[in-house]
Amino acid sequence: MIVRRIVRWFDERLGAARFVRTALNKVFPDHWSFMLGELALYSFVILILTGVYLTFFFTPGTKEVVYNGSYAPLKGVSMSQAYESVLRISFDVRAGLVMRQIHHWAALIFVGSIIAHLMRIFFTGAFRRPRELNWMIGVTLLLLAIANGFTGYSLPDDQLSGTGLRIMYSVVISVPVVGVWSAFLVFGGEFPGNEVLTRFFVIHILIVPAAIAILLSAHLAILVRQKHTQFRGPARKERNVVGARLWPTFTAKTLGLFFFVFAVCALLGGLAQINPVWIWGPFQPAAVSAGSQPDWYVGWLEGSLRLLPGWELRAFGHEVPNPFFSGVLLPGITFMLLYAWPFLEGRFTKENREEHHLLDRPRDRPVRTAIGVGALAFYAVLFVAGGNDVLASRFNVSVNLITNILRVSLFVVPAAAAFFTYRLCKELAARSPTAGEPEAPAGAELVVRSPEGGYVDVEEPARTP
Amino acid sequence: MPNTAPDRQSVTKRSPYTRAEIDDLVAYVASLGPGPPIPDVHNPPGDLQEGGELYLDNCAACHSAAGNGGALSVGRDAPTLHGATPVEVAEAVRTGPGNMPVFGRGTFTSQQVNSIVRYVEYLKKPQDPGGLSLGLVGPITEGLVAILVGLGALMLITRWIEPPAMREEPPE
Amino acid sequence: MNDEVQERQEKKATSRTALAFGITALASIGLAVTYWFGGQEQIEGSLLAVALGGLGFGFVQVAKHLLPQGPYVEDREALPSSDEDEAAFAADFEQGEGWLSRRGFLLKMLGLAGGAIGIAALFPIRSLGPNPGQSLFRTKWRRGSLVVDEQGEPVAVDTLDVGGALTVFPEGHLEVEDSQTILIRLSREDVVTRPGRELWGPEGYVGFSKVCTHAGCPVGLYQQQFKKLLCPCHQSTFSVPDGAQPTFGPATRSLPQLPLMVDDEGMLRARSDYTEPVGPGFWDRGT
Repeated sequence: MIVRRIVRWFDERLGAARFVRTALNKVFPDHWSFMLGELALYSFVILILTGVYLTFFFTPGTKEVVYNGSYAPLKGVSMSQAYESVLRISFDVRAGLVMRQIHHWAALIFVGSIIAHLMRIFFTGAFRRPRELNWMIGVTLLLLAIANGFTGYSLPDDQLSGTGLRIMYSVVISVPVVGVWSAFLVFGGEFPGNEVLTRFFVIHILIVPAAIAILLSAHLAILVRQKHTQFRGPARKERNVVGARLWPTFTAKTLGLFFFVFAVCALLGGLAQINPVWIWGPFQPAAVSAGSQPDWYVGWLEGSLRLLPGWELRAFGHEVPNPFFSGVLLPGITFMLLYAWPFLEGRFTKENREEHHLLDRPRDRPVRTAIGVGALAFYAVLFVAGGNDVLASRFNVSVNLITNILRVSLFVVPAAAAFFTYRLCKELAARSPTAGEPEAPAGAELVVRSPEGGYVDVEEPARTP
Repeated sequence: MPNTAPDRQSVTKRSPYTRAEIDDLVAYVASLGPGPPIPDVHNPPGDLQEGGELYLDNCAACHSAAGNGGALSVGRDAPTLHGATPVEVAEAVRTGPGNMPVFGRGTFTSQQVNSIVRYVEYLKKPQDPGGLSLGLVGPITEGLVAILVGLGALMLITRWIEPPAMREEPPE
Repeated sequence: MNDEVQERQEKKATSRTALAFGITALASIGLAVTYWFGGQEQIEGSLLAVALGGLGFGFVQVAKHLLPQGPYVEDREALPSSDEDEAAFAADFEQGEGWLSRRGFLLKMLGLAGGAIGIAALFPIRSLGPNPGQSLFRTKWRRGSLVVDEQGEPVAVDTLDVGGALTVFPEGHLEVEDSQTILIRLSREDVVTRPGRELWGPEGYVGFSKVCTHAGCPVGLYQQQFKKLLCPCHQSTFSVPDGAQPTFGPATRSLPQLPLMVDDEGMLRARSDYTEPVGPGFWDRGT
């Protein structure tokens, strides 16, 4: 009864009951792969929660201080205050290290789940009309997530991330005409300068999270407006959505998933050490460690930088140096293709003439699936190339040999993967034709919402043409 | 010794000589001319903090910050330091075996060498307050764990929450 | 399924959920106790995972076994608006738009105002950093700069053994990134790496910029047998006796060599700054 009183209080002031009722009854199709986006969403929530905690203890900036905390090997060593504050969080703030590790593991899972979600959307054709806009918002979210990851792990000012920053600086200055000016403006001068870490801090805790929050809201709003897609199956048609209601069942399911995402991040955060900055040491411009890699979602760029042979353009006193092609052109083309994909495919298949709310099985679209798998293979080879020295050291093989093999693999493996995928799709599709005519099972208890907004219980579902 | 394949990374073999025989050989060779003595890694005593700074500045580039070693050109390797005794570390620093540079008396004092030795000893069992160290390899292993273990577990959990068979069964 | 089976299922699910929530409560108490007594990372993470997992398990049990499963059906309305709605929208929008299309001059002035204020708003970006000027063309090395190691100790002729390598800086500019230099002793005799560099390698000492010409990482690996420098980041390899010529990897340019000399006291000094820009390439590098 208290609930009734509260609801009435809000309704008198907002007129919310009608709207909320519609929202509560929204139907969500049921398939496990539709929850991948939620994995990303909940990782983001966990990042915010742990991130806010960390901002209460982290001090950005390069001001030199002398360490006096409990990690003995660095006692008396001078370092930036950013690095010192991360050591303090890790060794002298109760539960600080666990929070920091949960935060970092969640970031790795955040980008991973976005990519898994993107793969589901791609391979089932969910990006087709009318969802091209949401696809582009999603690709932007991926870009922002990667950017926040990079700025985030650069904040502790340790040797490993500092090496990454130096590489980033070099990639920026490789851009023709405006590169050097851009780097000087972003970094406040020559590398390393004293500005970039405080600027990254603002970008990491304010600008990018705000952009993600806004775009995420738009992403979800569009999803609600357009309603979710669904696989073909009994009673499922282009003109309806079949599944569980938002309230109470979907809510319970998704809350459960949130707690599990948090639980997995917490378990990793407590049991698996990540980014032990005290081993890498404080950043020094003339030092570097063997086996330096960026976080996994930047690994493909690292591999690109390692695989491209010593080619660059030089003419009339100007040059377009090597890192431009591997560090700017490659990711630029990657994201351009990602953004453009719905329109490229739509033009080619002429499917953009009508709406699509029923999903494809990947096997029924062999060309798209083969291209997708080929692309994944391409970036997988790049990722492996990013660790060529670790592979060489681990398996006692020449790093030069591995590099050359991967250079060839970069073209052979994706082509082979695409070819085999195409054949596999054809084979699988021939063996299992698509699900039969969409028809509701007899005797189903259905609640149907009419276009005018009312709800009607029906014994037998009306056969819509 | 003898190095039967000098064009490849030399590997440790078992010595056919006893400890006493080795000491005799060393004494004989030492009598032939001047050369650096076996380093005394305890005097002067090394300083852990100084050792860390020197190690990260001079050694990490080849042997990695955690002492795991690293790849050199065409199949050569800067080996892992986890199995080296303190004396072996000091000797390697002073003599520059294989592709390793020579850090002689003009480059490092005995105090500095002993500090490096102390830090390398520490790297054999560093503090791992965060849990499983995953070999201190770095972001590669961390990424693999995050995707294969973390995301993998979560995908299994989503399948448990929403098993695909559910949508095939007509409700009663 | 019949009611009895359903009821038993629901009872089981209810007790499982209750158990899960109970475990969450216990784990949470454990968390508080752990924190109170000083904290321990592995225990904190595990207990937190158990507490959260209990909640997760409970909610999922409720969702799967205790709440209505449906399936429910909801119709999709056509997304594009009806013809009447579109016409009505067009008519309403016309009210403003029609007015606009008849005021071309005002619109152009608004465009001018907006464009100008937008461009003016970009000017503060200029304050983010200094004019690059000649910064990338010069380091802190000068004629006569004393070569010092990373502790600030001057480097003398007997500092390095043959086959030795050390990171050095100009005196007074320790840890300045663009001035970092890798000093290598190749022999006891003077070393000439290229024509015109006859005086640059006194008593076997050669100095090269440690900033990799590919992407700027410190080229810290000196391979004494091969006499090659290896950059750990992307495996660019440089042949030292040839003047650090790249032989493998993505680097396209040799590491600049620092002209060295030995002064009257046997100390190593620079003859001059590097004779070309150090580090990675950029658009104007050749000008």
